[in-house]
Amino acid sequence: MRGGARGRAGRAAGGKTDPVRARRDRGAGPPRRAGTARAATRARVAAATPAAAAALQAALAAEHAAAYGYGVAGAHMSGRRQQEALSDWNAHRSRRDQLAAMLTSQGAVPVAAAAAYQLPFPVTSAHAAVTLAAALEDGVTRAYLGVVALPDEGLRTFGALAMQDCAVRAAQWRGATVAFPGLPPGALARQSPPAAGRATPSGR
Amino acid sequence: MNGGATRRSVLAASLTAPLLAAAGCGAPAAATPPAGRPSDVTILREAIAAKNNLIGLYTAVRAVHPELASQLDPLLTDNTAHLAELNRRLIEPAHPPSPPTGRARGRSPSPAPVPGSRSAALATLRTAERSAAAAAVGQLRTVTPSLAQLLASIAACEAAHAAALAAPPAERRIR
Repeated sequence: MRGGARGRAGRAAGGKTDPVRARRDRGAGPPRRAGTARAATRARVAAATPAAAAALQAALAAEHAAAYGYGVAGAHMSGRRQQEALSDWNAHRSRRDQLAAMLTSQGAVPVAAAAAYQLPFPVTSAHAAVTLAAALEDGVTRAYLGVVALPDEGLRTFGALAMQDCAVRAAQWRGATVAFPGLPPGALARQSPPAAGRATPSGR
Repeated sequence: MNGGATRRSVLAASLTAPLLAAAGCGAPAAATPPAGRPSDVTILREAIAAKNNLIGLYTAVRAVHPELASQLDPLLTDNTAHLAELNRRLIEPAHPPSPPTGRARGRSPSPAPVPGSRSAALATLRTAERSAAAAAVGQLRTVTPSLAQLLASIAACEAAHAAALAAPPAERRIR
């Protein structure tokens, strides 16, 4: 069961740089809300460095993608699952607004959401929607790894706590935990000889 | 307003940036930390000691409550993988800078008795996982970036463990 769940998730994200990718076509975008942006004013904001801005923008882009993806996933769910998807959707929108406010306070222009995103696989059933939700959380978790690597302690803490939220939700959707949320396999098991070009993890 | 190509590139970067950062995990972590801050070696020793304690707690609970094995074994497997990776990252210096005491994350080495009730035993594990995740967030603030990423990932797993121990399997969102 456990291995099967991991296998499904692996296929869901296989060969993609992100569970959902921005699409060229422009349509009705995900709804925007700035209600929780105020909360970000309480968040500690680091000195505006290019690395910090890039990592926060990447996390914001991942949150945009997750918010879009949850809209799709939730549409294929019902009952309690749909309520949980709605709750998770709101959690990502809250983080999205928080990140946007942090970037704005640094003088950066927060990256905007795409009009639509390419899903990693067709979502035509509740089963696929649950798999997508787990994959969305995996993608956001990976994005926050970049924030955790920043020198600023406050941003590291922010990123680490966001990773925990994502990992909890991913495990709930998947019905199983993974040992190293967000970390690519290449970052582990350094005793084995590294494959050539390990800086380009195309396997994920 | 940004064009679609820009957004796509940023979205693609949302993945590649952290991956590239993580791929740098193999870089030597020999930089001397600022005065007063524990080194990576010190933090790794603490994390290893705490993880050993946590695994010991799982093993003890499993021994007293064998009926929980199917629920606990996947989590124990994760924790064992954490311990192996932490050990892989630890390269002991020729002269240890300090004895591995004082700041040990987690509980004292003497294990507390396992509660007789199943729910209390699970609550003990839940609390231990939650504490471990919180401690890791404190530790990762001052270490090198690659170790910070590992500790954050382990803490995320521990948080998921705590949540999984809080809810019986039937209450989770399994298909």
